[in-house]
Amino acid sequence: MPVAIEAHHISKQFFLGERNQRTFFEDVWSSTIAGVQRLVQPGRANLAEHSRPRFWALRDVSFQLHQGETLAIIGENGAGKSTLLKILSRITQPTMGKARVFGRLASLLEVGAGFHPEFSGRDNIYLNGTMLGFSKKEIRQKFDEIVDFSGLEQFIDVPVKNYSSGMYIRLAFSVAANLNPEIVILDEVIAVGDAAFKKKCFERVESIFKQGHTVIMVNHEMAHLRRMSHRCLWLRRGQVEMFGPTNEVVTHYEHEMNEAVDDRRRPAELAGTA
Amino acid sequence: MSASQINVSKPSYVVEPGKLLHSHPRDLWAYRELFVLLVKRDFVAAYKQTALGPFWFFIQPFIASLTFLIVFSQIARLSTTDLPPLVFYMSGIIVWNFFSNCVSQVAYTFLLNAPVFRKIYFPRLIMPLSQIGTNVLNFIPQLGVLFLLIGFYNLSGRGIALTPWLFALPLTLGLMALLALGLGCLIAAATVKYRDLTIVVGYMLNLWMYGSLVICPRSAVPPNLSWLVTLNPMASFVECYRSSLFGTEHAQGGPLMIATAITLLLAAVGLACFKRAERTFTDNI
Repeated sequence: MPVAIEAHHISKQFFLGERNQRTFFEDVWSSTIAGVQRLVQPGRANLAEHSRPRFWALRDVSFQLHQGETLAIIGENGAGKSTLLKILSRITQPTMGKARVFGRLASLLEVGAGFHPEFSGRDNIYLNGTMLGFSKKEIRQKFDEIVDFSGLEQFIDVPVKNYSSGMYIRLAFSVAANLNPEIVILDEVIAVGDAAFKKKCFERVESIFKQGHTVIMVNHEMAHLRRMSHRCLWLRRGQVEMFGPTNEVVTHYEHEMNEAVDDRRRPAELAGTA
Repeated sequence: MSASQINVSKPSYVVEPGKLLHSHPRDLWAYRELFVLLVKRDFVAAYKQTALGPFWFFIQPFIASLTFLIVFSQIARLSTTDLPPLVFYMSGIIVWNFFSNCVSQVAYTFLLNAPVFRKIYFPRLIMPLSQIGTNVLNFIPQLGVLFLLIGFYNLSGRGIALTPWLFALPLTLGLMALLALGLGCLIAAATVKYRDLTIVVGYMLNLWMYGSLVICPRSAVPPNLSWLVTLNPMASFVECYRSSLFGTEHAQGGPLMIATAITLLLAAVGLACFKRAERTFTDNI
């Protein structure tokens, strides 16, 4: 199977604290001070710049994903899952490293991003579809499928500002999933919506990878992951803890999570018995 | 395109520090349909849920022209060449509005679109370009109203001749749009760091209009201020625009060259700053 995504040593650093909190005049003042300091002591580096707290959201993440594979990314909150998805979908760039993406990628990082509230569902399907990089012709061909899948036939000409959040996500997911991108990125979005629609989404994701397309998702329901994804990337504090077949990784992950829960519970139990 | 058609030897894109494909000309072309949809969206959205809808195209320039008529023509007695003051002011106001709306809307690119930019990739430059497009669409009916006004004057016996230089109008508008794009992009890039800049820009645009030959022709400018008007690219463009319409003034070659040079320079600097900002702004704003 040909490669869909290759990530080489991706790292992402964020600055913490007071960034861009200063006014123009404060910036001018501090850069003047720094300039004077450099003149007086040419050897000394700019202290302010170096003492700024930094934080590695991702550190040396590498993996390879083939076409038709589904990758699940797991990890605790703040492990860098969303940052990785954002880097792959060109929202933000890595500080170091490189990723090569083969094929068209549609990412669903947030429900209805790019929807315009004043416009109808119909207009927004076209707007969102073109933002994701599809041509009007492609969208027209898939239009009925999208509407049908969303189950919003009745409301398709209603401005989306009158939609419920459930309807929003149905439309957004339908656009991204039915336009047949080669790679789909899903960030916990299918967790929204009612049970029936969720089931439909999972079936859709399965049929996407059965067509030989690639899916990357973040999901916290391990049972779903075991069923739906081939490979699993476990991130911990920005670093790859484990990468391999889903069953294996999820087993380790669950084992560790249970231990962590046990550790937390034990002192309480002790206190209770004492 | 099915999975089997993917070119396996060449990646669709590469993510690397300092090298996103943002707003590459080829990318812009690939997203041309998004441009068209955005222009349509903004053109229509401005009049949804408003009482007067598209009549706003005409009301605003009319009221502004009447104000100018009272203040600058009746009270200050400024010359308006051989044109009726109302036609002179109206033609100036609609073209100034075009320019100033372009600048201020482009300046808001990052502030207003941050939620979308943080979730979907597309060449960011599509947004400012579509703002310019929307303003061109807004300008056309206003120009139509100006012609109606001219027709009305002609019917009432006061002849206003249009010149055959009318074809130069799109070129002049294009230069104004380029200047607005460059300046707007420059400000947009700066708003990533200083968010209140857009307010300052609003005031500056208001002031700028008075030095841009919107309220009087070059011949009415006091000699000690003429250098300011010569260096102001918008003054030359507005003059050029009016002379291509009516021929009661003549566009000056020297100032027009200066204006074009300033425009090209600002466009280059503005686009370069915008490119830099679009790479880093998601981590900053």
